[in-house]
Parts: sequence; C-alpha cells; structure tokens
Amino acid sequence: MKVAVSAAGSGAEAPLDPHLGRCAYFVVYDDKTGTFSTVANPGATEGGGAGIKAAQSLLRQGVSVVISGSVGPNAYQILEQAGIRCYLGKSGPVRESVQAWRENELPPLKSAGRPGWRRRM
Amino acid sequence: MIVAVVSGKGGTGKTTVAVNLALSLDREVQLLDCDVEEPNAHLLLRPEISTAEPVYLPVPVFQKGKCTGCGRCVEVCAYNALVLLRDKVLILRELCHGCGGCLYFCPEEALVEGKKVLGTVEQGRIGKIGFACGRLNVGEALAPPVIKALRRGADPALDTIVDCPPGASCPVVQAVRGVDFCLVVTEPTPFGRHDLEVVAEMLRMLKIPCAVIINRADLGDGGVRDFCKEQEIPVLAEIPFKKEIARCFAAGIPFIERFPGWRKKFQELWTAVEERVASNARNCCA
Repeated sequence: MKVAVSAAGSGAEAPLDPHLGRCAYFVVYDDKTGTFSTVANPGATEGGGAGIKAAQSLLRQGVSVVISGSVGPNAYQILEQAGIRCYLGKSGPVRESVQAWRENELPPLKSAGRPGWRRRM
Repeated sequence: MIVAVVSGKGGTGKTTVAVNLALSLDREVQLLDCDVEEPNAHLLLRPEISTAEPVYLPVPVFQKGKCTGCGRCVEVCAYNALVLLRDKVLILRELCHGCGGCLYFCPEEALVEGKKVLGTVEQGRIGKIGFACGRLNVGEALAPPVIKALRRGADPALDTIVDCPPGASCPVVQAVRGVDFCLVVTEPTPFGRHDLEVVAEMLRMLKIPCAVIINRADLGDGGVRDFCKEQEIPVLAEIPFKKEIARCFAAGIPFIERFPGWRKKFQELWTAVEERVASNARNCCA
C-alpha cells in the first residue's frame, strides 16, 4: 500500500506541507518495503486547479492513502470517488506523520477544506 | 465608432460617464453594459427590456462504455477540468472554459458536447438608446463568454458605448476587444493612479488608444495628472466632486438632467474622441 504525504521537501525528514494542491513534493511511503520515495507535485505551479492536478497525479501513482493538512473540495471529491482515504497529518517531518498513521493515531479528514485555504494544524 | 469606458479602479464613475455620454449625444447609439458580474447602467437608464437570451458554455459530457482510459483528455485540458478515475472521466464543470480540446482529442468519442447556462444577455431600448446588458449567473466565475455574446449581439452600424467591468483582467480584455477608443475614468488618488497605470499598460499591449477622464477632480493629489503628462495620455474631461452629482446617482438619475451644461461637454468629448480615432486611422494608412 502506498501512502502519500504532502511535503515541503524530499525524503522522510522533509517537513509536512499542509497544502495538498500546492505542496512542492509528495513523499510516498510504501508499507511493503518500508521505504520512502519522493515525487514532485505537478499541481504546485498550476494557475488554477492545482488540487485536481495533484489528485490526478496521486491516482496515477496508485496511492491508497493521503496525509495532508487540508484537501480542497475538488481534490476531495476526486480522492473520495477513487476510494483514497485522507488523514490529517502532524506538522513536522513526514516520517512522524507516517509513523502516527501506522499506529492509527491520525484523524481522518472527513470534509473538504475551503478552496485555497489550509486548515490550522 | 465603438468607445469603451474602463477604469481599473472600481467605483470611479464608468457607468456615470457611459450613461451621461450616451444620453448627451441625443441620437441613435447603443450602450452595452458589459459589467456582467454587477450590471447597473439600467438603474440610471431604466430601459424597456424586450428580449433575454441565455448564454451557453459548451462543456464535455462523458459517455459511459466508450472510454479506454487513455487520459488524452486530461492531458490536453489547460484548466484541469478533467480527471481520469479507474473507469470514468470526472468532469469539473466549474473549471471548464469550453475550449472543446477534450472532445477534439478523444480518440474514442467518449466525450460529447453538452451545454451549461452561464448567464443572460438582455436587450431593450430607452428613447434613442439601444440598450443591452449581460448578467452572469450567481456562482459562475466565467464572465468573458457572456461579454462576448453581448458584444456580438450589438449592431455594428451604430455608434456604441461599452460600459466595462473594473480591473484589467480577462473580462475587461474581452469587453474592449476591437473597440476604437477607450475612455479611462479615474480619480486623482494614489489608488486611482495605481490602477490607471495597470489599465494604461493593458491598453498599450492591446494597441487601443485612450484618454483619461478625471472624476471627483477637485479631490486628492496630482499623481494622476503627473502620470498622464509623463505617458502623454490626454485628459479630455474633469468632473467635479459635487454632492448633487452623488445625490443624482443615488437616486438613479443621470446627472446631465440636473446639470444640462454637461450635455455639451459630453458632446465635445465625443467629438474629441472621433477626431483622435480619425487621426489615428490617417496615421495608420500613411
């Protein structure tokens, strides 16, 4: 299972970026191998529809879980229809949010955040 | 001749100028209210509306069973309005600009053209003024197609005054497309000057000649006049800051009715614009 975390940098030690659509990278954790990989977020530089582009990229990568700070209404709709579960991450290194997710400690993100606004963490 | 009234900054008096100018000419003209997000020229003119036509945006509709999941439609969409899920394409209509790219490039004809109502174009008349106004539906973000439909519906044989939206973004660019001249209404304040600079730059890029009208001219500072001097933009009229003019506007009365002397000033303004357009045409041909 692949778990994507919105991040401000690459690798497991990068800080979580609470903005799904416009984060610079997704750090992807694979629970089969226990390894972290990093992919650039193609939504980061979009004029509009950043969250959609980000969500489409996550779908293509076969991600099953997304950890972020907030997910906008469009991205949320897409992830929900694709059956991807979203969780509210912790500020700090990506590794800590992934660890918390593995221990079932992250609250699910149930509703869409406001467009272009991030949730307070 | 088509003359657009623009401003950059909102609330400087575009509609006041457009309506009073149209009435002062006292002959067959058209007035198009292109501020489709909040049209208000009808409040001053009180025209009789005779037709109201919906404006549609062509949007893609997904046909189940034909899609092979190639993702070409998603790739070509410049607005991220399409998403490929496992077995279908999700269409986010509010992001679609109606370019038709997805329909054109889909190799399986899995997308067909549907339509979505964006707003309305109303047409009517008051005296010698042919009036038209666009209205964008509440909740819609895409003003340019409504403005385009409004401009297209105008009679090309008649002199036309286009009351534009504020700002210098897509709706304004759409509203001023193909006009002969722009009157930029501003006020002599730092805000007025800042937005005048933006609009002047936009008009320079679009190669549309312009002149400035300073409203509430006896207020503020000299920034706007300095800018006009530097840029060699003529100031064709100055409207004073008068409580009675504000009262007229609040009551929905064009101020030339209370200040009949302004009829002549607006007629002279129109003549000055005509002369500039004619002289530009001569210079172009020479």
